[in-house]
Amino acid sequence: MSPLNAFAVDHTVEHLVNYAQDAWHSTLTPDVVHECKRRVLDTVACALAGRSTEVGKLACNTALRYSGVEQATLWGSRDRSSVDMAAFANGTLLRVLDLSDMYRNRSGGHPSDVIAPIVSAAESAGASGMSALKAMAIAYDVYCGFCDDIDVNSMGWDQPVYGAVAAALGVSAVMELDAPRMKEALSLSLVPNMALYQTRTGELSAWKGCAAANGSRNAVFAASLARDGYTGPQAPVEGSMGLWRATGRFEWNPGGADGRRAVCRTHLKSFPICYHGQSAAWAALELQRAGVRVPEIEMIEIRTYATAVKLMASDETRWNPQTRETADHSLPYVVALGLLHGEVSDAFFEAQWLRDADILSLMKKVRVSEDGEATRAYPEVVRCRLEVRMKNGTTREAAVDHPKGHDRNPMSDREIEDKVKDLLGGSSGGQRAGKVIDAAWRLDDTEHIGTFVESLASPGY
Amino acid sequence: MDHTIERVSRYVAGLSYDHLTPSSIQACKLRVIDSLGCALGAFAAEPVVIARDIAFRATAEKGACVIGSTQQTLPELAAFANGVMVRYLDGNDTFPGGGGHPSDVVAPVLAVGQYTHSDGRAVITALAAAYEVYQAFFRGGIMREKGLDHVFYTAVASAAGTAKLLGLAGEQTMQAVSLAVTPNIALHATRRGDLSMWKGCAAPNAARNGVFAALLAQRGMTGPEHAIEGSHGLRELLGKFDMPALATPGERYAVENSNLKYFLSEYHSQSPIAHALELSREVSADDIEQIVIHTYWFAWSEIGSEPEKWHPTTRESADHSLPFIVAAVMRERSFSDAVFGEDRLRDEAIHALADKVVVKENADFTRDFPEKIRCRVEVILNDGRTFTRESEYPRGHVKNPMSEGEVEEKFHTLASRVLSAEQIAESLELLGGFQKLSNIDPLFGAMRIAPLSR
Repeated sequence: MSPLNAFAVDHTVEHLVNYAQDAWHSTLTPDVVHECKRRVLDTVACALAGRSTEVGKLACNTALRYSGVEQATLWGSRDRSSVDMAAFANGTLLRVLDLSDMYRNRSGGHPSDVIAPIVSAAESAGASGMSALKAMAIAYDVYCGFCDDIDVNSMGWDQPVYGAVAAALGVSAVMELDAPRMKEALSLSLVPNMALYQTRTGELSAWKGCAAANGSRNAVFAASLARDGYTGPQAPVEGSMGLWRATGRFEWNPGGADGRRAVCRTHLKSFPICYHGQSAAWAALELQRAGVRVPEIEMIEIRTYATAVKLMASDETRWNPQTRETADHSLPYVVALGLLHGEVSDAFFEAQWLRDADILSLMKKVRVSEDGEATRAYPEVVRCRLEVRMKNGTTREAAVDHPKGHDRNPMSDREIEDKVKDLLGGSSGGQRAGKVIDAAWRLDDTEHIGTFVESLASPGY
Repeated sequence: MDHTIERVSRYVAGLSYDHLTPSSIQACKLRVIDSLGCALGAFAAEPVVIARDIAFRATAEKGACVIGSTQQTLPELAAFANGVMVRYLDGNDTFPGGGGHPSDVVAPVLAVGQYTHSDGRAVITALAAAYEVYQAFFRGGIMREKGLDHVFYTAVASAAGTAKLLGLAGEQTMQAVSLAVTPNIALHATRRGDLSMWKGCAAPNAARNGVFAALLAQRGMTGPEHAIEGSHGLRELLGKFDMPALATPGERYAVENSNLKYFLSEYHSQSPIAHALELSREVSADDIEQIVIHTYWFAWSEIGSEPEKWHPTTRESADHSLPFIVAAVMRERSFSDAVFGEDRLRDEAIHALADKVVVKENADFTRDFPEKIRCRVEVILNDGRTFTRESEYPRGHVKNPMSEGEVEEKFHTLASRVLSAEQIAESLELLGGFQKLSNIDPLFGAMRIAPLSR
């Protein structure tokens, strides 16, 4: 580069790529390997269960138009598509039930979104299981590092802004791109994929579960372009018309402040709903199990932190959801389900339940307000306090600070396995779950990740 | 659904060939000819070769052709590869003032037109619809003012135009538009600093994603309800977004409003090139003390202010470097896109003359832009004599249009790099009768470039 262009050096790009290159050429510690495997297992189980949804089918069918070289498998089947389309289909599958992992600091999202593009690219490249895990750990660090450093969600920017970059770096790693090519991949994944947060406000559409997968599709395309020789904008973050122009200046530091890799810190979910409803769901179940009888309820007060209010009780759509996507982002719906049925599971988000008179009338008794103290304690604490006033004048209370699966209240391996069995048990029994579980725990010894992907195929294929 | 999206989608679904005036139909045809000429001229360029390789990695029995071949690939990948060809030489049309290059919608419309076996009239109608949406979004809100790129318009217009070819009704077209609006905002970084290959590929990438949005909508995908007017939607991002009226039957359609380029160079260099050509015949480059280019702010900002513009190191930077281009024309007394070649980038005489170029913003010119594209070039010699040229509209501007013959001549010049005289004649005949084609396959047959191994 000539001296004239020296001003155009983008330090953020240099920093992220150096980080990714160093991490790619280092060895993962056993605890990080284990946390990666836990999340792959959790994620693929969500994806396999997601195959039966309408949106999941739509994404797979869109991918199936393809044939050609450089293919990857649509999980749960033996169907193959191009790597970018497989990233889209698998990315949609893993996300559609809203049961995959979660991370939120200043910004938030679902870091396990990166698993679809990375595993699909690794499969196509013939990479090992350990390579995929290593690339995944890099992508998690980039994703969560961004979330730690700046709040772009309240500026109106959605997860693909950082998710596509994280995925592109992970995919570049399994493609074995060198540092110069990896910089191009970063630039080519960031510049065209600025997505609007509108996806997550108001009545929610099918795109809620697909927006991140679309970012993954474009991340794979960007990494492929870089591999094949494309060059991208020189200063995509710090340049005069780069990311900083849109977001303001910030430092993007991959990895966490406390020295733990990000993949060890993301929260796993127990219920197929927005993360900010997990505490509320547990609290509702606690009261239901303690014998609170719905006909005797006068009023339900939910007090929680601001983000939960914004995402799950912001407007009237959350008291009268018309789509599954809105219902699983509604605090009143989730709490009503828990109190009425003692269960917050996928089946209760199907269309007939959205019109269920008992649920709708109980939702009318729900009031949601922000608890200033909970907002201050967030995100270390994700507090929800549920207060149910009974017609006889008594009050019943439950409060949850760290729902099961939270970094401070982790799921055991056994509990993750139980979640997988729950998700896969329905159609083809425990045998299939067992196969997926075994394959996931063996990932670090799997010579070709394709073997793992093959083990996901349902017996019908 | 958003009022804006609903309005634009119902418009697109309802537009019919019979609504179009003869002049708008002619405008569509000229822009297809112009775009395909640019594409053929760029056939051998490196980013084009890479894009073609990517497109040929997928196969489809029922798909679309990559220009130069009759082998079919997926329509979105054909849209990408063909779009890179159309755009790479920077010779296609433009909406000045941050509107980019509306003919970036030609490649996706042709690709999906072929994929759907549409006839010439349907393709022309879809193209007119895409231009209409493109112009409406550009006039609705200027992305550039927020540091964002015009390729957003390409994504939305491509989705709308191809939704029409897919036969989507108003409701599904709304989903296609929403699915194109939401994820395809792009950073203007593409057009800053030393320019990369992405300069010519960003819009084709947006077109690829626009086609994908339409294909998803066709299969039943739903997009955000209020992508423009809702909380955290486009309007909030831009501060304002007010879509103007769309042309009604018999009116002037947007496709007639784009400016064609006479020279294969960035739009704001068109007048400076024309003036430099004339001045170069009156003076010797060796006698020049200084060249002063008076222009409007936009041109100064885009192609005449950053230090790279005096000494570009890549083709992409060179064709966006006003001082370099004018210096090269003054030296060579001619202009073709050969001035962006490696040899010229290393030519010390051009670089030495570029150092004598000064670019000045003229407040009157800025005020009149973009209605007028004013430019004055002054050449001051060592002996003190000054030579001046000034104009308001470059050749190809709506107010100084290129004739059909000139557009065909441009096509001929560019196509002759890869096609035989017979193929050029056959292509022009098919293009001239575009509205009579029962499908557009023959066009790709006529432009087949042999031998094309992949």
